Order: sequence, then C-alpha cells, then structure tokens
Amino acid sequence: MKKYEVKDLINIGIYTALHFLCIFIVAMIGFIPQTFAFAGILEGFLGAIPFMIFLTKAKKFGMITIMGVLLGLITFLMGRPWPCLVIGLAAGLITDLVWMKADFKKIKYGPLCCGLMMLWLAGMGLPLFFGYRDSYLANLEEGYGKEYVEVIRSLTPDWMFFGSIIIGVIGGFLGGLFAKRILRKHFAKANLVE
Amino acid sequence: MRKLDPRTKLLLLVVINVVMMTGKITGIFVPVRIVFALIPFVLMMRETWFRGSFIYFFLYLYVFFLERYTLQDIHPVLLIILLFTTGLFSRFLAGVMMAYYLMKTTTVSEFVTAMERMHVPKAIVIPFAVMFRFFPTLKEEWQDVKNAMKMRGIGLAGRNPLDVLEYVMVPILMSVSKIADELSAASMTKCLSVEGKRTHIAKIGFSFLDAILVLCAAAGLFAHIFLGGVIAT
Repeated sequence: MKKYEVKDLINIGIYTALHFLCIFIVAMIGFIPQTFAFAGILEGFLGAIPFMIFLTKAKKFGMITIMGVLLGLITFLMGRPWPCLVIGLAAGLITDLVWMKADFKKIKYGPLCCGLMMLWLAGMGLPLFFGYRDSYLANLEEGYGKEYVEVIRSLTPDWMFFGSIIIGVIGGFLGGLFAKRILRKHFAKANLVE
Repeated sequence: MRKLDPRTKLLLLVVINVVMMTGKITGIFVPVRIVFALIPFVLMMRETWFRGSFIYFFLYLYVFFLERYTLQDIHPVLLIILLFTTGLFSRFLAGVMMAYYLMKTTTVSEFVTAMERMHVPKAIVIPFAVMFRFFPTLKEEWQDVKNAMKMRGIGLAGRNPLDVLEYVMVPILMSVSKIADELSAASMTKCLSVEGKRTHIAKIGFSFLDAILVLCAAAGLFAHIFLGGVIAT
C-alpha cells in the first residue's frame, strides 16, 4: 500500500463534506416516515454525484475506507448508536475492494461503487429498527400517545431496515449512472478528470 | 475570556446529541433535556451572539411546550404532522446549535492540536479538519452559484429536476475540485507532508468552565445509561 499524500487526504475531507451535506439535506425530509422509501432513493441519488467525482481521484487503496470511517464518525457525533461506526467502516471497505478490482479507474464500475457506498446510510436509520426500536417506541408511547406510535410501528417492521438499505443502494446506483453522464459531459471536456 | 477546549466541545456535542435524539422525553429526563438544551444557549450568550441565542431560546421554548402540554387530545392525523415538526426541532435543534458553536469558535489549528493530543491518526485528522472547515465554504459556493444563475436568468422552478441538479451540482463540483488543488498547495507551505512530530502554536487546555461542562456531560451520560434513558437493550 502506497502512503497517502496530503492531497489525497484533503480530497477525502472535501468530498466527504459534500457527500454528507447532500445526504443530510434529503435526510431532513426523510424524518417524516411516509416519505421514507422515497427519501432513501433521493439520498442515494444525490449523494452519488460527489462520490463519483471522488472515485476519479481515489487512486490508492484505503482512501474510500477512510471516507467510510469519517462518515461513521459523523453519524456517531449525531447521536446514532455505536454500531454505525462499524457500518461506515464496512461500507467503505467493501466499496474500496470493488474499486480496487476496477484498477481505480474503470468508470464502468463507478455506479456499482456508488451504490455500495450507500450502505453507510444503514447507520443513520439504525435507531428505528431491531432492539432499538421496541424500547424506543415504548419510550415514545409514554410521551406521545398510542396512535402516534402505532403509525411508526406499522411503517417500520424489521424487514424495512433491509428494504431501506436496498433502496439506498438502488438510489446510489441510479445516481452513479447520472453522475457518469455528467462526468463525461462536463468534466472530461474540461480535463478535470481523465 | 478563556476559550473552551475543543475536546470539551466535542464531548458536549456527542452527549447532547445522544441525550436529545435517543433519550427519553419523560420523567427525570425532562430536567436533563432542559439542562442540555440550555448549554448551547449559555455558550452562545458567552460569545455575545445575542440574536442567534435568543431565536434559539424562544424556538426551543415554543417547541418544548407545544410537545409537552398542548398536544394531548387532538385529531391523530393533525397530531402526527405537528409531532413530526416539533419532534424534529426538539431533537435536532440543540445538537445543531452546538455544532454551529463548535465550528464558529474553533480554529483549524486548535482542532488539529486537540485531535493529535487524543492520538487520532493523521489519516483521519487531516480529512476531518478539512471537512470541518469546508461546510462554510460550501455555503458560500452555493450562494455564488445561485447568484450566477439569477444573473443569467435561469430559474429553478418549473424545470426538469435532473437538469436543475446538473445546473447546480456541476459548477459546485468544478469549483470544489479547484479548491482541493489550492488547499493542497497551501498545505505545502504549512509542511503538512513532513514526517515527524509536529509542534503547535495553538494553546488549548482545560479550565474551570471545561471542568463544569465535562461534569455536566458525564452526569447526563450517567443518567442516560443507568437510569433507563438508553434505548438499546
């Protein structure tokens, strides 16, 4: 593994910020559970565009993993339960492996990488599912009343967790396709990427 | 006026978010929530940002009372809509304010110094510091793109959303990749790529106020974990 230059590290920081911001804006809408599925697609789609540009700059193994770790850290700072750190790391590592398979340049694999990277979104939705969910809802019931909790409960069964992951991945993949088009149309022309 | 240590601010940010986002909203957690909501307010007052802190204070007050007292016996659909907005604010607001305070009052060098004192590896510290300073820059870029679009008479409404996305994202991404190059050039002058232990000019350290806030955070976490506030089983 080659050592990272400062330029690589700066690129990681910048594109992580952009990627996160894109997703955060959409995630605000996603707080309303009726738009849950829709928001997942949109998050993936929007987040994939900066990530695609980042892929063209990631020429060393580990850069995407660092990005995953950072994203996990931010989700943790935002008060999600600790497994989100592991999820972030795993998402980054998987994407890194696929991108390494693509020799760090075959743009054909780009949309797939974009999709896989969206796995980190699972950490964002974590409090709504599994063991967290029942105690979370029981706690909500004390404060908010039964009707409210019933609506949330009906909208978030456990399979929906995997559903939301898949939705995010699909969104990322579609966003990747769109980003690939943009990349060819604007960036290749301006010689910003090869 | 002595500045707070960045590590204290980070700890507070985590604890506020944990307590606000995932904690209970009833019983003994009512005062806990009030205390944690007040921390960003007090810190912002200390920086004499009166306007922002009062807006925050009254917004939080409004949301808090709406959530607690008025939303009892109304129609479920209306309740759900109202609860989502109040729930959103009462959960996110304190954390967002704390993050804003953290970003506004911490310089990059202080931040890097604090991170290195915590023995975080360089491959994490540098991207994190860049990211941390980059959010305000992104806001400026977004303003510039908006102005440029207005000047050329390109409106956002009534267009194909994919086109809109392209119009907005492409210029931002273009300037972002330029900024990345400039930043790496700037980092050369600061010898970031040199091996070995770095020294720091930024003075950070814990003071009395830090101690109080850390105690507050510890107490909050203690209540959260041992008095049944935690949602994980």
